[in-house]
Amino acid sequence: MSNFSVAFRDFDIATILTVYGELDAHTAPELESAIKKCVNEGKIYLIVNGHGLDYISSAGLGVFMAYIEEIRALNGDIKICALKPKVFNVFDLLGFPRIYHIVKTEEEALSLFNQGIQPV
Amino acid sequence: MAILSVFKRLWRWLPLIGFPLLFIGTTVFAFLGGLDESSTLVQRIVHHAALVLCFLCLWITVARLVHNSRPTPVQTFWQTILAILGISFVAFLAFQIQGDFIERSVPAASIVHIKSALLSVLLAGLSFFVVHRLGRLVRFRRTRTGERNWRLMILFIGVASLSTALVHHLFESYLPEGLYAILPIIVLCLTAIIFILMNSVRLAWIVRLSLRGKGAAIGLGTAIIVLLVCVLAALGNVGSIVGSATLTPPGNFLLFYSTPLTVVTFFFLFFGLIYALTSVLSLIFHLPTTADYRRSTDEMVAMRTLSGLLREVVESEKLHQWAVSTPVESGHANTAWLTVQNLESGSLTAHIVASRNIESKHINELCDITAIHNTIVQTREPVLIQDTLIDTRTRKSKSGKFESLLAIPLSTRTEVLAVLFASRDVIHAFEREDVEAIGVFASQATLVLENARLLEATIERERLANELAIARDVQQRLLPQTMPDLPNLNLAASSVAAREVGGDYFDILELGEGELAFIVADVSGKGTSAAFYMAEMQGIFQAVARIAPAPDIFLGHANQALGESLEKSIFITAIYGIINCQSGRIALARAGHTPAVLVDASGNAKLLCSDGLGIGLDRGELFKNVLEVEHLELKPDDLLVLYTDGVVESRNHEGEEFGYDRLLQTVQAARNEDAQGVHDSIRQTVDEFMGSNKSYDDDLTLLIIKWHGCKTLSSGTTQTSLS
Repeated sequence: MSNFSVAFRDFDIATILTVYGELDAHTAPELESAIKKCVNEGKIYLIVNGHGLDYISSAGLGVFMAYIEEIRALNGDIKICALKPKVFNVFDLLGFPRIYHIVKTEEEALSLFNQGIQPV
Repeated sequence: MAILSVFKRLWRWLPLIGFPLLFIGTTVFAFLGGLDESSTLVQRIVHHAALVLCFLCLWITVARLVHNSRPTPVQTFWQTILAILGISFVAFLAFQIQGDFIERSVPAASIVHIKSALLSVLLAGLSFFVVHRLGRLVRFRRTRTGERNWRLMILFIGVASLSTALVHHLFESYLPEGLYAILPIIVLCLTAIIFILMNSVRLAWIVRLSLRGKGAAIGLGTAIIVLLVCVLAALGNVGSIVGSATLTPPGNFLLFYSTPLTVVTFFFLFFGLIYALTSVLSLIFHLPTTADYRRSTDEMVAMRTLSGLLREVVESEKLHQWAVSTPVESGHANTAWLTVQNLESGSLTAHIVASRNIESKHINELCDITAIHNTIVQTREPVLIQDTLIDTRTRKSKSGKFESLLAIPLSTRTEVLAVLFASRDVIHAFEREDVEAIGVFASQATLVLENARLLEATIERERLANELAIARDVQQRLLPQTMPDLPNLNLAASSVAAREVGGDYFDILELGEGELAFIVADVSGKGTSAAFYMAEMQGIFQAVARIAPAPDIFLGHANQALGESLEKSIFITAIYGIINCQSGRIALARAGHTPAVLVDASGNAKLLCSDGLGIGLDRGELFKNVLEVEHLELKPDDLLVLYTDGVVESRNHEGEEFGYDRLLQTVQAARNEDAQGVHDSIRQTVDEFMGSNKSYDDDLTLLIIKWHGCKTLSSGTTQTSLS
């Protein structure tokens, strides 16, 4: 039933989490444990690539909130890139662009890490 | 019918009356002279027919006497012994009556007729009693063939003895001499003996006796054998052999009275002797099997206890105790215990929940229950350790009580509920039968345990359902029950939770001075946790909106208050505004919520996308800095639609979302209706869009504000503009 998956990939200093499918209350724990795993392994420069993400619910958005404080306390960040317009709209309505860097490409996200720019 | 009932009544009394009448009649007849050489054949036939009838009556009477009581085998033997002793004694007394034969069949005096009649009736009665009494045992657990054999035995004994009468009393003079005459009689007698032997091996009652019962039965059976041998010996010529040769043996008196009756008496007593003999022998052979029979009876009792348990609700402790008691009580094991997996600790250790004849601490010293338990959980097969010395998981106890071990899983289709251990005090103690028997207990116990668990789960589920139903009622009361009746505007709202309780919230509050505060909020996620935050939101709205109604101030307070209690991954989106009911001016702020829809009278629709973060996303100044308050002035017949994402994210079968476009179109189409009409129209369109997929994926809330406009003011404006 679950049509959601996460793929890990190292990209320079960052770790890219490519998400596919629908991120809702049922699938949110998968992404949450993926992020938790990265944090536990000391990977704090995370880029979530959302080009394969078809849908996100409020519970899915909550996942980004769960570890952000911890990651930022370590000078890391979660950056979001390549969202479909419809999915971006959900992020946007909630005001996520004010809190997270939401960019077009992984490279942009990486350069933001390299420049050490924090969104807030 | 009347004749039938008369006949029935007669039949009841006939034997009882017929016997003494016929007996006295025939005896008096004999006493007065009876038959002699000159008697005609007819006279002889009548006399013998009367005798046959007389003893048939006695037979039936004895049968009825015995019929009503159902004694145990031991009691039966007792009664038989007492009957033999009593009647023999009376017969002995009768035998003392003076009178003897001059030669065979020639009585010295008339009193001999009475003496012989008395002896005959006593001994015949005794033989009848013996047959009827023992017949009960023969026919224990009746079968069709058994019944048939029993009746055939009686029939052949009867026919054989009657046939002797034909020869001896009636047609003696007409029959040819030699073997030909008695050949049929011999055949009949042999057949009777065969049936006697066949009936003598019907001993089904023996297996049920306890060891004590068997012992008693052996003693009493032997006594019967001795007594019957004595009686039969006394009847015959044995007395003369012993020494008292001067007396005629009692058997001669019987023969003198009636040959067939003598034969019947002999056969019946002979049957009694044979049956007592086979009983005693069989009892001796059955003595060793008593314990096994007892064990299987105990198993049956245990099963019955279990089916009793199945019917009532029992605590699991009681069930566990039952499961360990059964193997011990039925004799399959000396000690038994039951282990389950420790779920609380998270590690896969087994612990003992019940034990019998052994203490838990001793068990842990003697064997590694966790290792065996886990093996069984994986394989689902019993573990049989025939010698505890050899296996690595077990140790011998000093007392020698722990020599062999059997462990059987209590497994359902999906999991192993528990493991039943049974141990014995000798090596190689568990035979295949024991394993099977304990296996049966285990599977029965599984059934009961599973049953109890299901019941518990059902009760728990019902309890939770009740709790949730209460929670839903409480939550429904947190929402406004009625819409206020206000001048110039018209309201409609509803909220449907996807589950029993939800995270959606809407509310309105009259602030005085013609102002009205309204809110629609959505807690991320759904279900119980969302419902708690929704309730918190309601409290904040009702308290804070009164004292700090301005949208930016109110939402700032709400963010601050909720930021403390919200989980990190939970946030609340809200849209909040105040409307002046006189002027139609609105101040509106959106905290990450789905944008409100504004449709004017001519059908122009737009989404009010002012800036704002969701509550709980940022706990500092950012929230306040970002939040933007939108001011607008409603024109007559303007519609403001507030909703949660449940509306736009409702999906149809193809997974397509309802979306903003459809929402805008629906509102535009219904813009001429009042608030309730617009509300119903949106709900209906969403339902139709979802089709048969009726259950909502998310909580769904709507709040519609229809501005009619200030009639006096607007007419005034019109006038001014006209003038």
